[in-house]
Amino acid sequence: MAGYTLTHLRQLEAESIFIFREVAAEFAKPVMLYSIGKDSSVLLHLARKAFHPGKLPFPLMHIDTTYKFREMIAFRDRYVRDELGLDLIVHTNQEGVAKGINPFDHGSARYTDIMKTDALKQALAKHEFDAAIGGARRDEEKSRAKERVFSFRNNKQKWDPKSQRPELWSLFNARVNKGESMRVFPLSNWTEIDVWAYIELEKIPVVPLYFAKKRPVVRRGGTLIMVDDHRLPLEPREVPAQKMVRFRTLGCYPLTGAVESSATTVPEIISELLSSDSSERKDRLIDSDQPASMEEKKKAGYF
Amino acid sequence: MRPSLVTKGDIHTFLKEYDSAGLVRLLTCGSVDDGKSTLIGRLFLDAAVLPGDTLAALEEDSKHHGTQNGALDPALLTDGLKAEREQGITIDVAYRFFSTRERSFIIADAPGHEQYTRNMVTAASTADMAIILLDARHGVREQSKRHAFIASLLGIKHAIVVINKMDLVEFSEDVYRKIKADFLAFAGRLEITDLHFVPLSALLGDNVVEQSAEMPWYSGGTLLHLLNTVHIASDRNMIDFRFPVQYVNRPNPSYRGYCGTIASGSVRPGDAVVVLPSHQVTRISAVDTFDGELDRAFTPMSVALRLEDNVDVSRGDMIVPVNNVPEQRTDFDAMIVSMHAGSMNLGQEYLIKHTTKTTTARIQGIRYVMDINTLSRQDRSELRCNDIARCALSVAEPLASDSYARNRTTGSFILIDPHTNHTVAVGMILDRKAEEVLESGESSSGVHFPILWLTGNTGAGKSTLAEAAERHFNRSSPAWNAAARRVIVLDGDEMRETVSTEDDLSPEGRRKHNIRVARLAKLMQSKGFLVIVSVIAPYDTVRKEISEICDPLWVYVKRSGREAHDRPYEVPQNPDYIIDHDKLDPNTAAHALIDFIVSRL
Repeated sequence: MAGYTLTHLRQLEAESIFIFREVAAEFAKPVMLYSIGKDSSVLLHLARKAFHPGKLPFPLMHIDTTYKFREMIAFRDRYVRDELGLDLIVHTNQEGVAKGINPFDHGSARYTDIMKTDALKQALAKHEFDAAIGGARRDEEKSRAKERVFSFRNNKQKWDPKSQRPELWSLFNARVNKGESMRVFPLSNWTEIDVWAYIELEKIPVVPLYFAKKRPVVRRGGTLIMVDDHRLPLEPREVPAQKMVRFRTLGCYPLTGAVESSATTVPEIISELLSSDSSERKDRLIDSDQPASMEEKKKAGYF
Repeated sequence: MRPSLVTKGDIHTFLKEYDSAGLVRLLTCGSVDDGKSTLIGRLFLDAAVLPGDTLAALEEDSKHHGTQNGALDPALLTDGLKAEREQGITIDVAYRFFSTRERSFIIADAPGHEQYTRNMVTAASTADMAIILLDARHGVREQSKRHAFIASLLGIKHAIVVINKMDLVEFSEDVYRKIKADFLAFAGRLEITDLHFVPLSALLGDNVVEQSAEMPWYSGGTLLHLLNTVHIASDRNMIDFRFPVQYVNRPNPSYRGYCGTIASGSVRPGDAVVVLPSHQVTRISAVDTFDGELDRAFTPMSVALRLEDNVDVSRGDMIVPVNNVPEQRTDFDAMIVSMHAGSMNLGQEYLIKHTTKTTTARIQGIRYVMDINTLSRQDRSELRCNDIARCALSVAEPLASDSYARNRTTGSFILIDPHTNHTVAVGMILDRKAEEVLESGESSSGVHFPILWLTGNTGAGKSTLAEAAERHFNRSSPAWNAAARRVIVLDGDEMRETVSTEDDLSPEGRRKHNIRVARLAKLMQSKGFLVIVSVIAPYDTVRKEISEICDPLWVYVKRSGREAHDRPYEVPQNPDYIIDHDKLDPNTAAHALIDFIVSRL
């Protein structure tokens, strides 16, 4: 009988596969949000496991704010499009582009509202998706700790934390009326360490930005920002320095702080994580730009 | 103690341990006033593998918001209620995570007071183990009884009763004993079969991770020790293979895989199965995963099954063994917990989701509503929010179901309002047959449990193993396991002091003693007991005789250095199982034996 137990990573894997299949079975038009980061890498890997040997029964969708790291876009096109040959929708808020919305002039809060939250809502409405699968984890942030695995959105795509559906056992209530939708989080019960340990265990490809390398950075406030292209306005006499840095999370490059690091392998990343003094989303400037800000964003329709 | 400072050299060791750690879902019951946040915070702080940043943030927080004059305040790590109050955030059920080197924990925590029952039932639904927190100054109050009742109702078999704030009662053993006795008196009416008690001080850390110097009279292990070692693996129902078909994978005309998560039991290619509700019989031709075909799969794995024959199977069907088919019922009784803001009326039509099947259901009658403060039964004609009631239900299509006590997955369901799509109630199916048997006082007739004979040299550890197995089954076995409370140990020394008093230690005396025990074991087996014999039985010839009398499963308990010239022992050639004390620590050995027994039930 000793061989009849599953390790915790395999239990989490089995649970996530169950969730993926439940979405495919219960919804008419699901989509998987793919943000290119490590959680998306794990999410995609689990989706492939869930439907093997078939194709994914839903497309992937990437909300491109136009300020993503260049290496992210390169990884997306090389791995998802070329190597795996998956159906990938890329959506950008063209109104925002036309108005020249950017994080420097409009501030991170407004920029994120328009180029991420609005863009996502536009894309979901345009394609009439009734379920959107995302890679959020409950250990990331306080408001996520209480969010359901199947999280209901009304016809304005809003989340009401006060009237969430009770969620017991693995009996997910997936029913929505026309215009309403569900956000589904198969990685709800994974932690950051689980994600990395699973990446190592399964040898899942991730964007090279997670590994330390000499990169050009400038220090803004307490944060190291990588000069990924010419659009980052430099202060007079500000010169980018080459530093060994890596990223714990990936988003828009002007809003994502780098950490100085020498970790070039996944075990080294985990090792660093266990003794690190900086929380995962801390380097994301958008989480703290207003009080209780993630909950506010989520209510408005952010992932 | 804190393993967070992992150096590069041993990160691979860490990963290996981390990968092989088990998963435990934990429910925490108690209010902030009992010191719940402090306790969880203390565990995180002292025991968990967690990013070092959390500590830095806590130090900072403690300076500004702490209640400990700027010293580290563990409550701030997890204090959901504070967040609720200060930030206007509502929390009904929150999930938190921590790992030790042995286990990974998912903690479900329901701090809400208003929707108390609803939230706690939700949090308890997936939990393996509960921490029930009491304040040593107040003892067992109504609230603790409610917690224990809900944990029991939702099928949690293991509870650790934490008696906190021992520092405020001068670490008094009398206080601890009184509370423990009070709790046990109440818990006798519940289904929590494995209860542990630990006196501690969450604030000071006594008995949380480190043994307390203030309570030398307590030797039962710290809270962390219990969390890491309480044996939960055999809670899983490994007997009844149940496979609710979740999704049919048909990528091309030549492949048809029935996807699902194994609710209970295990499966191998070649197994004869029946598909419900169509009752078509076929065999498993392959068990598929992304990583290749498996030669066996078990709960809770997510796999795809292929079948030998081209039978018609769709989502909502269930694949089960031909010789172990669940009941298919349109009428059954269930414990219902109402979660709906309004009232639920008899005869109204709801959608019912049971495993992967959705159909319609009506509540035909309310047998009683449980008052969770007094555990008394009340008559009522409608259900209000947070009511727990025994109801009679009827469904439009038969559901292939087991009782919740036997199978959490095939015994549970939710009710959905077809107009609003809200989940209005949840339910746990009751086993009417089993209850009738219990109430009429009959034993489960015809049930034949095996006899296990632990053979091995004096001092090999047979008695200790037998006792551990007995303790496990009789005190901590889940309700679905009919072997619960029916394990009996026939110990060599005890036998010699009672039934084998005339038999000496000569070879013939030993033979007579062994034969007597074999006959007794056979008799006990026929009365419905699972018999564990711990008697040396040193001779091959005698063991053959024993096999003819009672046909036991032979378990050879091995430990080197116990051989003696005057007491020859012939090592069995083909035992059914070997426990090697040279290689296993006592705890692992006991678990191995328990797992072996479970595999033979």
